[in-house]
Amino acid sequence: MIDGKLVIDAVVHPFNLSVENQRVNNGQAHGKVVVDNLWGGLHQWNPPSLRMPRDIYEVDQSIDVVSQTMFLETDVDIAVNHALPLHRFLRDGGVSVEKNLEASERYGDRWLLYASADPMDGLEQALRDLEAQNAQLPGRLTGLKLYPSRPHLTRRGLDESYRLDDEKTVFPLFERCLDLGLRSIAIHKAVPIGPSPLAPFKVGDIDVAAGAFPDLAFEIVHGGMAFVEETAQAIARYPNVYVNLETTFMLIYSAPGLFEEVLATFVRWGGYEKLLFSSGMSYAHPQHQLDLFRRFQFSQTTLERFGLEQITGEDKSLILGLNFARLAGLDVETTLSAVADDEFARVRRENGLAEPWSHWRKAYPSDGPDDVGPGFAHLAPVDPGVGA
Amino acid sequence: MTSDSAILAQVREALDDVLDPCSVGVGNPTSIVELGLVEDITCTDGQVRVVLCVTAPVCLMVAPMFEAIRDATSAIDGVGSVEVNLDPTVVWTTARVHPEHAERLARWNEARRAAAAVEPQAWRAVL
Repeated sequence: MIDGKLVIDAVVHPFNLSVENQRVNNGQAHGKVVVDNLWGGLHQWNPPSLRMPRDIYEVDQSIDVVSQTMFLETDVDIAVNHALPLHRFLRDGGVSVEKNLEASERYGDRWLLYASADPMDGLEQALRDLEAQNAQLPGRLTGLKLYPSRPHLTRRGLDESYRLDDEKTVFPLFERCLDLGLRSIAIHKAVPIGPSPLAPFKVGDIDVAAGAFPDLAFEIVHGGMAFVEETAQAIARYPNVYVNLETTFMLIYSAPGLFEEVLATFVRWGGYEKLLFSSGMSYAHPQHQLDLFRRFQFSQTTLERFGLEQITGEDKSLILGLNFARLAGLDVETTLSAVADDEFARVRRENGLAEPWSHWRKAYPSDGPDDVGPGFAHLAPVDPGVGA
Repeated sequence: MTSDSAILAQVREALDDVLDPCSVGVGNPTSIVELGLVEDITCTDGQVRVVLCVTAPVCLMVAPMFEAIRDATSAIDGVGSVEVNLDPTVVWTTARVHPEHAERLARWNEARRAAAAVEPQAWRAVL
């Protein structure tokens, strides 16, 4: 809680980034590139004290350790886990369906869960996957996580992508989500996952889907990282379109002026009610972002430029948890009372807030140097092929 | 033999034709130079070195941009080799966009808003 208000982290990733889980496709180290980028984010967009050596980042991050990190080291009350379908990059998809089960069984009051079902597997398979996960977690799924594209398997690969407004291959999946009681569709946007076409990462397909399914929420995940104007217009127009600020929230430290500008754009066009805090843990520590946001104020220049009033504590509470609670249909008091005296709350009361990453470092002791430099050392093409 | 300074001038010109993939995607093609992604260009004895930054550490379009830079520069007369590197320490912000392009971008965004006829927080009227 912050100032007595519920805090929900709308995307926490207990990734499996172990070397064994990283895929190589036709000589292209897709898995390694993803880990490079995540670890690069951890190193480039966080202060040195919050970085981790690669050898303890590149692990199968357990629900236990991630839960301890979230609920003993931060003011976050509830974390949201997305099962991920990134099988082209990581063998188990990145965050396996089994981690949803484990989070539900061990710490059910602390986690909200999103299923993974991929229309690119074909509609029938996607429906089967969704139903199977719902059968394992009846009444426990809050939403569905989608990615709009897959990386090419070869250097000159073919497009594998879809649009959210596809009535034949996607709308039936949304209808099934409603039938099963899911409330939200979280779609990865704005951060292209290459090598793949760019168009699927734009937001122009949200409108028709949001209009066709007014009883579902649509979260534009990574909204603000690109296509800011289009995203702003989407949240301006549709009551059920939200920006999930995963990654964008990291700008509050790494590029505070850009964070202020993007936030002001979204507040002007969508309002505070349309924004969801996400830390993107494990490539950032949530408490650092929360501490910075607690102190955040718009500059006078920005207030005048965007025609806004200064942000208030109430506005921040909406972004930090109350919007997600409304989206997910949670009763705030019930949600808070369920975790008020659990194992994490008791330890917190006794010991206060633990040091950032202290549980992680204890569980995964490092054999390597504490900081082995920028995370981009491997970003050059695996097969340069062209040029000198 | 082409001088290094002459090669450098041609490389600079060529890089202004290399487009940022995301700007193409959004329908407003912008070169990597206009966007402020080129951190440094050097040429020594025909060996060209380009240093790039990206707008976000999570950018996965680096490889295609590297390839496009090599395609655009390696055939320039006098170029022996082209090395492209990323400087991950550069934090890109909109302040890096070249002023002329920043003005064009602002006009383009304003025109799109006007064309879309969207009012701020129009969703409230829907409820």
